[in-house]
Amino acid sequence: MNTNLSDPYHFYLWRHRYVDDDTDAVISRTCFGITTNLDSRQNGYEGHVGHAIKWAGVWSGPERQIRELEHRLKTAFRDYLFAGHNDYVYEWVDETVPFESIQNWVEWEVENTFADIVKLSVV
Amino acid sequence: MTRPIVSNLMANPFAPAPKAVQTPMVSTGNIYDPLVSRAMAIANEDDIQEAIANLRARLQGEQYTQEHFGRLELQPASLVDINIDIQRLLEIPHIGKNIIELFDPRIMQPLNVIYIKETGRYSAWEGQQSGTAFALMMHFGLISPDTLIQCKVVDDDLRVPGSDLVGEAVGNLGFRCINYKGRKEPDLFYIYRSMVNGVRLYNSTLTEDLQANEIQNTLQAHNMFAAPGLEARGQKAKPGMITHISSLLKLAGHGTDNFDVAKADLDWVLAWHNKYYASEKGVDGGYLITFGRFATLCREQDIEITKEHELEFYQHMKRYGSPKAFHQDCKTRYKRMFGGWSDACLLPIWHKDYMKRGGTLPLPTIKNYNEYKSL
Repeated sequence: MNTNLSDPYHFYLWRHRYVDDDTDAVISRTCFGITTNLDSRQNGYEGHVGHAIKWAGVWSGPERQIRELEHRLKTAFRDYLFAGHNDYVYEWVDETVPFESIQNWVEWEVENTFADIVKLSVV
Repeated sequence: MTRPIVSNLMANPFAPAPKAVQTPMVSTGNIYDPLVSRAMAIANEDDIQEAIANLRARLQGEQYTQEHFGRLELQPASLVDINIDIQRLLEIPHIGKNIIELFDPRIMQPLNVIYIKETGRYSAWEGQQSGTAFALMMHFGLISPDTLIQCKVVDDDLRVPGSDLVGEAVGNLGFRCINYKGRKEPDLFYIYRSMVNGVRLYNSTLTEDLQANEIQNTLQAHNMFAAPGLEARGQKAKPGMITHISSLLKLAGHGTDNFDVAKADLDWVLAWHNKYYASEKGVDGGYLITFGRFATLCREQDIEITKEHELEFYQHMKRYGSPKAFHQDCKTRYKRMFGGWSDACLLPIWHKDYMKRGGTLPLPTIKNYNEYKSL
């Protein structure tokens, strides 16, 4: 059986802080996603937020396992995903979950569930 | 390079606690939703607005009134005819098993008939099977001979706004509307729920209800719940949610004499999922089919499913990622080779891949294994 024929995919986390206009509170949320092109994805996020961004964690592996990792994260954190306009749910974990918890969750999954996913050193 | 994954059956300790668990088979609070307010709740939906606009255009300013709906009458069965160019053939096993054997006069629906003024007789375009059952039960003395049959009657010269049809043409269209596009078959979940609630709410002793209730008890024992397919559409499936009700019932031998034996197969399949895949978004239908068949074949061929099977299968599943990913992998491979899809390939692919990876545990013989060797 060969289920790992695709080009490497990347699963990433990054943190974003913003000041809530109504309360002046600083809110920190964690974004996650997958891509085959980290540079292009980084440009995309920078274009949205208007400043440089830096990945907080990147893991690489075969497409199926990376997709499954993302799927598992969505499942595990489904009740904590940020819901915005028209209740649209985004790939952002809300501020009630610390970044470290999400990172620990990912590292545990990579260690215990997926055979071919490795952590990349973040540039 | 692929690294070995050490068996670790713990759930991820860093997962946040889910906020809500949803397992209802009955509603909470008032179960009576007034018809009019229930209708008004969807009045502004696009589908409704578009349909209303189209019907309004067809009516050209006219309005339906009471007379357009026909009338309800009680008539002797001897005055009812079946238009055999409109109706289908008699479904004899259905009439016997599903209508007569389960008969309850309170559940029988009125026949839909056209009143032919020239002959003074009633042409039934809907209700043939139950009308036939009615006549048979009367013939065999189970219904009193003076009992009349309820009919919804439309005169053969009745015209209604927005339609050129009249007489038997109405029945011809009506047959198609009621048996085809005009009635949406309910998701099997609602039938299953009805059977379970038959026992839990209404003390039913019907075998199909008692068996469904046992299946529901098994689901609950393994932290699972049934739900209509609509609730899992998109990415909405929740851990423990089962929407593939037909596989659930089939696996347990629901409605068969084999139920008392086969229900143990279901128990193992759900227990295994709950132990190893509790956080998956829903219980994948392909998983139920694959391991349901595996459990059934093991039972039939006297192969004991051991803890080693569970552990090795768990390790093997990791090569795909999850039960859902295994299902998807099979679909991709089948489509590439044959086009389309057949779930008959699921267990053969599982066996083949497991053996190819060096699996040594005993597996049952699968009749159609060779058909899928090339996948």
